[in-house]
Amino acid sequence: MGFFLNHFYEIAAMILFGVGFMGLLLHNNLIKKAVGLNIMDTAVYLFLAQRGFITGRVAPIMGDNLEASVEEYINPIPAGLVLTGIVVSVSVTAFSLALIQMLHKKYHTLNLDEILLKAKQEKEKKKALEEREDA
Amino acid sequence: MHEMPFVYNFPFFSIILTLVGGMCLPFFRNGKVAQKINMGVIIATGVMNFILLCYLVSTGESFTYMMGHWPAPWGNEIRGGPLEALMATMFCIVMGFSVLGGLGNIFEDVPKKKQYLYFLMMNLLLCSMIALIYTNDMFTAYVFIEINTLAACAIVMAKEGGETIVATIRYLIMSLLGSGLFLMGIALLYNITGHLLMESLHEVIMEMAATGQYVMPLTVVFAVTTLGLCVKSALYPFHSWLPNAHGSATTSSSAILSGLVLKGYIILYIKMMFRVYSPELLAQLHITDALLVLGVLAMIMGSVKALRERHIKRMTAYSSVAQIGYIFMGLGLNSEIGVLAACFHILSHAVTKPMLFLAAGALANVSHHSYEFKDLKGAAHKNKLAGVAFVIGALSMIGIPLFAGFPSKLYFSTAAIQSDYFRLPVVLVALAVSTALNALYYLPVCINIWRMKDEAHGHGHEETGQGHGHEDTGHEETGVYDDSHGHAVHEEPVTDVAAAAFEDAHHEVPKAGFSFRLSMVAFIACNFGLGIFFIPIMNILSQGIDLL
Repeated sequence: MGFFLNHFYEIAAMILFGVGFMGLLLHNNLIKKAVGLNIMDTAVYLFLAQRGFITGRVAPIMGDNLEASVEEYINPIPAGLVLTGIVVSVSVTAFSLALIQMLHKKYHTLNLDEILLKAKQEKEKKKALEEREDA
Repeated sequence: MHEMPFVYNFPFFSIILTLVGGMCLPFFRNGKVAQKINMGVIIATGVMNFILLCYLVSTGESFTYMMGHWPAPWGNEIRGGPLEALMATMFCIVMGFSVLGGLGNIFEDVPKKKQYLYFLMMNLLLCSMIALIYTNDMFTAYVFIEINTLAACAIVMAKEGGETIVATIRYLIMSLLGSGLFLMGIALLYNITGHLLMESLHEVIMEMAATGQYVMPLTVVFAVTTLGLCVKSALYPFHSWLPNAHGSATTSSSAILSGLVLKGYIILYIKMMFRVYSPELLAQLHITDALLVLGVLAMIMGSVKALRERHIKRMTAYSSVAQIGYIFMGLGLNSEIGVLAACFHILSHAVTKPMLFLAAGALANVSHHSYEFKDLKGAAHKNKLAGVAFVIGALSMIGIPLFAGFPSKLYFSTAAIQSDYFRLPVVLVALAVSTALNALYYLPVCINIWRMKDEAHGHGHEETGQGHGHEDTGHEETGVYDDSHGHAVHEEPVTDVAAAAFEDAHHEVPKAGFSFRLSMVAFIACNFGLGIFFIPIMNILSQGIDLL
């Protein structure tokens, strides 16, 4: 039990990662996939941010106290990684939402299976039309 | 570092040049200007990397380049050696000629207002691939993986239409799963070791392996990063996105996606194998066994799936799945010669597959833009160079001597013979079966495209088309566009809209025929070059692998 309490954040991060990953992989609804993507990325950021934090220390910003030692600060690298990661996941999310919007405009549904089905039908229709033209 | 040779700056220059070159394209908002800038950037990058390659091969050393002069544990680093320089040079060459070869299709398929954006994406793609090749920092690798993903998705969807958007979303989802896994792997690795630079990671990991600490977490990390990169480079069970994305995109996009984008991740993985983990440790943790099994499966299943296709581009795309299988099988052989063969196969596939895609695209252009086998019958007579290039590409993929595919198969078999009793039979049998399957699906297509159309199947105006093709060969080979243009004029049944489209294509890119010929000749030359003079290339590669 102590193990679970001590590693609460890590466990939460891993569970969230799994939830997000499976959401991205298995959901049929494209918006839910985008949400899953964000949960997955955020889980990694939670994990990183938690690992960089050291209880009782502050962010490594040099204030009035110029003689502060390393011992007073938390590890800033995970925070930097999280910031970079957030930028990346924002752009990826924006891109995927734009794509989803295009798909919705074209097929009027968010369900990936339906979209695939419609795309297939469209292709077959086009092919049949071409064949008729050829004949 | 006091007397650092100037050439050591070149990897950084290439990355920044391609990035800035891409960023300045929106100021012009003109497809043709953008294309010229893009080509200039690719040439400049290629030349820089070639000079670097010559320098590194002659001195026989590798280097790390500190970004912003921050020393190792803190700063970001670039790492270059003969292997990286050779790959980057080859990537620039292949990229340049793939864009040139599909130029006509790009200007035709991409809406006019968005053409400059297409070349922007090309620049970003090149930038991210060069960065993936040269980077020495895991997190930088992650960031560039994401840039690569977005740029690759964008060039798939550049050809507008329902089919490409659906293909893109599937590609995007799989890619994001892959990069999510990779990010998780990096986060865990940083958590265990406290480092992100490859050398520091390697030191700590070796120490842990020696003392037997953290075996389980390390296995998980290796497995997760490997899985992530496997998904992104379409290793067999994770390949579902590839045929649609590569089959429906515009010709240049397919060529670049198949020939280069998949390889960028594999090169990163090879670097990680040697510079972060170690091949022995991976073998000990059975990661290489998994790679071998998946690679062998991919070699066979990719070929079987290709056999069932009736769409020339999708068939070529499935063939890529099989070729990626070869590369991973080479990595899974647990020997240096296996890695060497895998590296060579990256090169030979990079010069062959774009050629196949470009030739297939050109053949489709003279067959009413259809990629179905039945419509492609006899297409090679209308564009002879494309037909020849397709046959050469097919022979190379099968592994006939003199072509680029042969040395890699030779080295794969050599590596298999030197490996253990379990790997030897499996790999040799897989190589034999896969080669036979390759021949089975490529040769009928080759015969089909060169076959004369029989009257019964013809549309009645075949004579005109073929006569036209023959007549034009008198004054040099006809380019794609000259041909299709002529076609539109000669054939009555083609609707006005189509004729106008051909006309447009003809007017917009008057030199499309020339650039296509140039790129085909260059790819054929590269193919023979790699196939005949493979010993020096192997020497450079093995020098590079030793220095990793």
